[in-house]
Amino acid sequence: MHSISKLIVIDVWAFLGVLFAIVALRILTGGINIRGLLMEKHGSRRLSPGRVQLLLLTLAAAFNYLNNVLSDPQGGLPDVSSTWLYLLSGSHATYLGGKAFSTIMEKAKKDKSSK
Amino acid sequence: MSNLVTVIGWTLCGMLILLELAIVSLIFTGKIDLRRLISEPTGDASMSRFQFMIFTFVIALSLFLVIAGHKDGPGFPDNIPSGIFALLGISGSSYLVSKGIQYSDPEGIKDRTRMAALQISPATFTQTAVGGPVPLLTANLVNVPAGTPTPALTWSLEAPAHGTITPVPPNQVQYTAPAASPGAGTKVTIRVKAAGFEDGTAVVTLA
Repeated sequence: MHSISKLIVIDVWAFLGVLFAIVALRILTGGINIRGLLMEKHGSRRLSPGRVQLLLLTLAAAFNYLNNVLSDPQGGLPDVSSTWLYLLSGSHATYLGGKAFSTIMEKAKKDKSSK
Repeated sequence: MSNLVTVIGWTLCGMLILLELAIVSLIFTGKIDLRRLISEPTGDASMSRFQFMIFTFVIALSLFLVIAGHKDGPGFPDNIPSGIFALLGISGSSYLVSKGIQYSDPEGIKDRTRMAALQISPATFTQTAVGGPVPLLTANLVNVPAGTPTPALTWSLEAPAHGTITPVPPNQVQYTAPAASPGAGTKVTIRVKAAGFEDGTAVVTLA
């Protein structure tokens, strides 16, 4: 049984590694579409501060958590601190609020121009 | 009894490996298409999907690291902190709300016509006789601003690959049918790829 579990650990490591590599490589080479990821979807299509802050905070939270896990894998899953949860909640609320606002404004503009 | 457990263990291990190989092979051959992994129906990339993907990967990888690093062999952690559930809840809820906002506006779900794509012309061709000519196939750019330069194109024949292709830069390819026909009506698909564009395909029906 010991050899089976060792083989499964190696196998899943390899599989996850290959999956991550494929996704990362394709994002970098355009194989996975990231066009407009940080742009406003309505109006002038300029850079969206709400999306930029969400991206930065997401990457920071992800790296922070992975770092906590890697520093002590035998210590079990570390908890996510309430500070990070509040930050992420605020970040998502900002992003969603901006998205809802721009959608409503765009809809109102279209309704006005169609009348 | 322990022999039976061992046999079952090895069988499940083998099945897992085969499943993983199948998934990776389907991704490499394009049957599992990742191009729109984080795209909205409009064709633009979605920040809510991207962050959902990041946190899903991070939690999955972390869980696996903890399982693999467990004392005395692999084992599930004794408890999963509530912060993890909260994190996944925030990420998933944000994705759902974002989808709701998008779907509240018909513009948010209109056809994917804005995606830059490659289109091969002619899209279909039927050979009239064995060894008969096949016209040059031309890849055109669609849904792009006027004056967009032709990107680097990669041409390929899909399996079963009857015949050969010879790229003719900048955007054409010459398909040559096999001297001996594999069978009247056999369809050969030619694909063209470029980074940041949807693939284009053309089908040649052999005589």
